[in-house]
Amino acid sequence: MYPSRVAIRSTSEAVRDAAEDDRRAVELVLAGETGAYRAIVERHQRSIHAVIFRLIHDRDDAEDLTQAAFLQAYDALGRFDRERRFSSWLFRIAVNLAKDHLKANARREVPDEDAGEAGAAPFSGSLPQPEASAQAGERERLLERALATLSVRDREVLVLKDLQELPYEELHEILGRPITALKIRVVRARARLRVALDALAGKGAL
Amino acid sequence: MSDDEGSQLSRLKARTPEPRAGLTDAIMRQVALRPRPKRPWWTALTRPRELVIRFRWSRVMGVAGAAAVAAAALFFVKLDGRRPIFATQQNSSARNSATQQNSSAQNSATQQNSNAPDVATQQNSGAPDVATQQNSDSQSSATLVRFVLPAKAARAVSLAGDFNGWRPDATPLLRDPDGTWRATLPLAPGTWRYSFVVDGKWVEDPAAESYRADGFGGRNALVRVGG
Repeated sequence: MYPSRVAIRSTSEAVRDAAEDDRRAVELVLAGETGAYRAIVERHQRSIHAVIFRLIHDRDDAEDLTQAAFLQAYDALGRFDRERRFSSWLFRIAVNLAKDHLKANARREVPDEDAGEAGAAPFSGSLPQPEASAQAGERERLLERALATLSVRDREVLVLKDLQELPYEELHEILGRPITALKIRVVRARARLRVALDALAGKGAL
Repeated sequence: MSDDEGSQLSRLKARTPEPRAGLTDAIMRQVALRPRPKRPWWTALTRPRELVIRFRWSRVMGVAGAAAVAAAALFFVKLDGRRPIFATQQNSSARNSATQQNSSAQNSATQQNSNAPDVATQQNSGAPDVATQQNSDSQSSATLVRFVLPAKAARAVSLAGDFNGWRPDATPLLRDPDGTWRATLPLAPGTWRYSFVVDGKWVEDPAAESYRADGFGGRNALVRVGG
């Protein structure tokens, strides 16, 4: 028996269905069926958490911020423009929360600014430890560290475009920048990631 | 190569920690404590709404609609038939001075009635005269019917019948110089009851094809229009 008889749908179709499900859930919540919000949380919590985690690199804070993002979205649900994509709106809230968190932490951690060896990254918290990720592929570990050294500006486009694999239209909805500008930012961020990766690899080789 | 970096980053997905299992419940507990989100009231005013207008047709309505169209068509045809109304008014006003016999109009009409068949026979081979050829610009099923009444002494003659709701003023006749009054109407196939109105008095057509009792002790003339 082959399990290939399962209906196969194109991803774009699945995405459109999810967007339609979101829209329906939002309408239900606004109509007083607040339990319908659970479907939204369940559908998006992993990706929201992943984006926040990759931006702030702290597991506990990432969970707190994920929760905060969903609650902020819930409170503002009445102002959500139903013509827009709900997931983009949610990502936008999450990215802004993560950036605010980073700013607040950067201010707080001004004294030990030079703690990170790569310098530029104003992130706080636990970078994956070499011992913990020893069993993981060396390449992934380096990639992770290289990403963490980039600026928030570079990281946000890379996380959304390359990690979440969102189309430019969604990046535009989330970050509010023109698509052409976003494409340039992605290309530059990828170049800087490569430089950071090479630097880390060189250092590792030493 | 840069695309390569991009696809490489997606490999980090597997290394991204999952949120803990109870996160959804924690969020929903918070949600339960919060005021229910509502749309601002003005969005109800500005929100575009779909408006669907549906028509439901039954056979009865279809038939009624067709009848309404037919009635409208007939109405215009009748207007056509009434066009000489202006000419009639001019004629009658001009003739008012010329006519001396203003005594009892009915009497004169009755007198005229006696020789009506003659005139009718001579001129029209029976009144009303049903034209066999159909008028090109009237409704295709309507036939032109000419109504003729010789009444030299009459000041005003009109025609009332099924076709105009029995309104005495609806269809005035035109007077010829010889004292014969005429009107031509397009009529649909069928049998039509009618009567002349001579100076306000109902006068039956002396040359009608046939007659039927009018239910008021008198009778109405009939004209049959073939289909």
